[in-house]
Amino acid sequence: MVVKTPHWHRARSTVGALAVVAALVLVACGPRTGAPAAERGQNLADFYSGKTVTIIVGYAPGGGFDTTARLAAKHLGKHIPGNPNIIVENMPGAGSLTATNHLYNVARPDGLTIGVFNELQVVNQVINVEGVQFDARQMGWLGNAVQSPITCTIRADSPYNTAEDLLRRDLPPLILGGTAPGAETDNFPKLMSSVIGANVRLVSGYGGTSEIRLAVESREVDGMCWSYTSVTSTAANWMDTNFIKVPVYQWTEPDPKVQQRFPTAKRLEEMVNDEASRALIRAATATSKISKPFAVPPRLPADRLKALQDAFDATMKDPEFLAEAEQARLDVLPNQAIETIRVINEILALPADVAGKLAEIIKQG
Amino acid sequence: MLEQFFQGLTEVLKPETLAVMLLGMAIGYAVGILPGLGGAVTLALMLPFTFTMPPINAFAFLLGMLSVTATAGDITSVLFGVPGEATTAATVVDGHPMAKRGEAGRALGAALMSSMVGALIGAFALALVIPVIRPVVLAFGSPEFFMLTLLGIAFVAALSGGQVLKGLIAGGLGFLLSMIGLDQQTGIQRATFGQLELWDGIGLVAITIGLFGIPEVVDLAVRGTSIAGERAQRLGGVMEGVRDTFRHWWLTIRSSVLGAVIGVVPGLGGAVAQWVAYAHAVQTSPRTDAHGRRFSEGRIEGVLGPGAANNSKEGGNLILTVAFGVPGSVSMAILLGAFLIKGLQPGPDMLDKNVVLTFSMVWTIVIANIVTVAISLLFINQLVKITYLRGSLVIPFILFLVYFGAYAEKNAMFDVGLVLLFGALGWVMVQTSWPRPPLILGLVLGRLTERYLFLSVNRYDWEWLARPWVIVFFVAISAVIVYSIWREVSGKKPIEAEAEASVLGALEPVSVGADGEDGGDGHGADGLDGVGRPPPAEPTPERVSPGPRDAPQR
Repeated sequence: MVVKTPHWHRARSTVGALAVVAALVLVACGPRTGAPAAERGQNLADFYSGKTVTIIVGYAPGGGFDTTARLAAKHLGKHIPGNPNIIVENMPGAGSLTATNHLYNVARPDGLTIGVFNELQVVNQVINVEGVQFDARQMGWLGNAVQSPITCTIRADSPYNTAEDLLRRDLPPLILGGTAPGAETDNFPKLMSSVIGANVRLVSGYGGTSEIRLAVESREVDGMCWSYTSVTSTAANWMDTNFIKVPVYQWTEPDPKVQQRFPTAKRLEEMVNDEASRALIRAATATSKISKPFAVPPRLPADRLKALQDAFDATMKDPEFLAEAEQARLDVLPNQAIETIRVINEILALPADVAGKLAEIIKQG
Repeated sequence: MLEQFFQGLTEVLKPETLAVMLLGMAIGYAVGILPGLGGAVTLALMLPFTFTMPPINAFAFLLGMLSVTATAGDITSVLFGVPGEATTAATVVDGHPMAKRGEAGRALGAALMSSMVGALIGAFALALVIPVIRPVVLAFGSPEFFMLTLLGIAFVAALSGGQVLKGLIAGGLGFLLSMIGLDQQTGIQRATFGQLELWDGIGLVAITIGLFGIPEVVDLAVRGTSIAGERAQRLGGVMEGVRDTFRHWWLTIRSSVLGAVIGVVPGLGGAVAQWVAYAHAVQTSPRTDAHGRRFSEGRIEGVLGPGAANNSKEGGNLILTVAFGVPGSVSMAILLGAFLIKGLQPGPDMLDKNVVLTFSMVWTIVIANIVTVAISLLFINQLVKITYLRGSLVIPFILFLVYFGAYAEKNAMFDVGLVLLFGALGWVMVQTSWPRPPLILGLVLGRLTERYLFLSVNRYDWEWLARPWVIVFFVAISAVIVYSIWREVSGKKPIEAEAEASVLGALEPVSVGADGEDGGDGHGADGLDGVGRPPPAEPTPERVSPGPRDAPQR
């Protein structure tokens, strides 16, 4: 069974095999959405029938974005005319910037690709983060799945009780854990420190919020600032055992759920008096209103964009979807496309000086 | 507690639960055998099917899938030299050379059996520590995790195969490569050359498959033979491998415990356990075996160590996920997602109110592994025949696996390019006798070490150096480093080697202590770097089963 062939034969056959396989791989992994360019006026149901719509998620499987996308994928198909098949693909990288850029530049604008990525990418565009290769104004938006205030959850045994306590200088600084610059865990403490001079110290560099949770439990840090919906879904046992308290959070008006659970919590913007500071706070946290956005490439045919927007809206109201989301403890507080677009435009229309200050705060080491 | 322990078993043995577990296992097996098509992606795909299942069934399904991917991945590593999973790369180093010698069956038998032992120990370790694990892990902070990563790095010397200087340089290179990407602490880009795809660093799957898989493919093409260069000896069969696992019983158990402990450390990731176990096997085994073979030339201990550890680490990972909600890997993150979807909260509840579910997970791992190994042992001899096929038939298939595996991790063509680049590097390293395992170890540990050091200093300034556990680990690390160097310098053989030699000496001619027949810079048993030293004089070896004609692959 041991066959020897002459040396040059082997070299050629190796190169040949490599070339053939490489070619096959390139063809197979070429542009993903293989549909030909749309014909104007083609009936929507005809177009979508028998096709597959791909939702590209900018994170690895298992996280909140991925779970939301997969749950939505289960129910989205029946709300699109023609009932296409919906699948989810993961394209993690650069905090979902890779997926965002891909959706904008590479995916075909034929209505067969949807993207789910971190809403903070819009802020990255405003403050000119390197690597941004998209324009949120041109992107098509279907809506977003949840809105949630950012809350600072700290250990119940910490000496800080109220938002005013954060201004005290006689206590050791409140140590908050963060993941990386640009993440909400990092932005909010920096914002508090800049705008109200809060006595907080950010210890950044943890791999993810679950690792920060471990650090809080082991007393390495005192707490972290993250979206309330993450708290209720991934740290429910903290809530159930009163392990944490919330001195400060941020929302444009008092949030009933937070206030009910943590009556002494105060909003950050209530701690400032001038309009400029309040505008800065709102600008920095505006994206918490458009959390978990669903987007499509720019220049989609208008009828398909509308169909997808309606389908998204219908899915977010679909009782079966909501029941499963509830069981998964996933908050669903959707915005329709029109509201998502409004908030995005507001963020993008920030005056240059506010954007500049925002950039300074977020990018500081 | 004991009552719930057995209640977990009865829950898992219900027909419906068993059925979905078997289904999960079948899927996991298929997935584990294909390189790169990681358990994680498949788990994510299967997740929606579990929405309607009751919790015990859902976890039987998911864990059944997860438990067998490491075992199946070992099979690909041994047969083709292409890591089936990023966590089974270490099995390639000694497992594939055994296959090339015609001993694929033996290597597979050892890999399977050690996987089972590892899984069992990992699972029972999980069950045992449930009452005490939370306070233990919570006593550790970033400084202690930093010392643990340093401990892992201290094993680099042991992975160097006698060429400590080359090993350290390779480890340093791996460390450097791990720094590529966005600096997590400041957001500065390091060596990304403007490529967005490099922001998260070099993909581990791509580099592992490239570094270990491509050189094997090239070697196979150049040799022009089948994978097995010669026929198996009488001692090459699967049952021999199973017997080896029991012959090296203590090594298997130690590697399992090592894997389980490493699995519990947050953030270490799945790839570390195998390399540390491999290094441990190297350090605690005789330098050459009865046939005069060194590690990376096809030593059974080099298969047993990683084989056990990469299964037992799952038990450790599960502890971390269940007791703290901290996922140790992407697969665990998905499992965590499944938890939350079912309305379960990881944490004290899982060790208290829901402990029956936790124990059912332990039993799932146990049963899934036993069944998988039992079934595999039945047909593994057929799989071994692949190693006798003509190379030109097998190469396109392997190449397809390599490219597909590289692409599938992130759906990125960029990673396919990375595979080719690191494949070239791996090939060069093989040709020049540079060891590859230290490079990978440096790669997987580099970022993590930096992160924990940064967190420690950021949080505690320099006071963390005085923490008790930090000092304990410092002593342990020093001991490991001193021992590694002493071993290389003195070149003494542990007593076991002499005993083994005298027993087997009666059976066949041996050449104890002789060097492997490589044409490279004679890495003598007494040189730190081996450069410039003549190989020790030795009698002409009479080898019963000659090794491959070209340089030993590492």
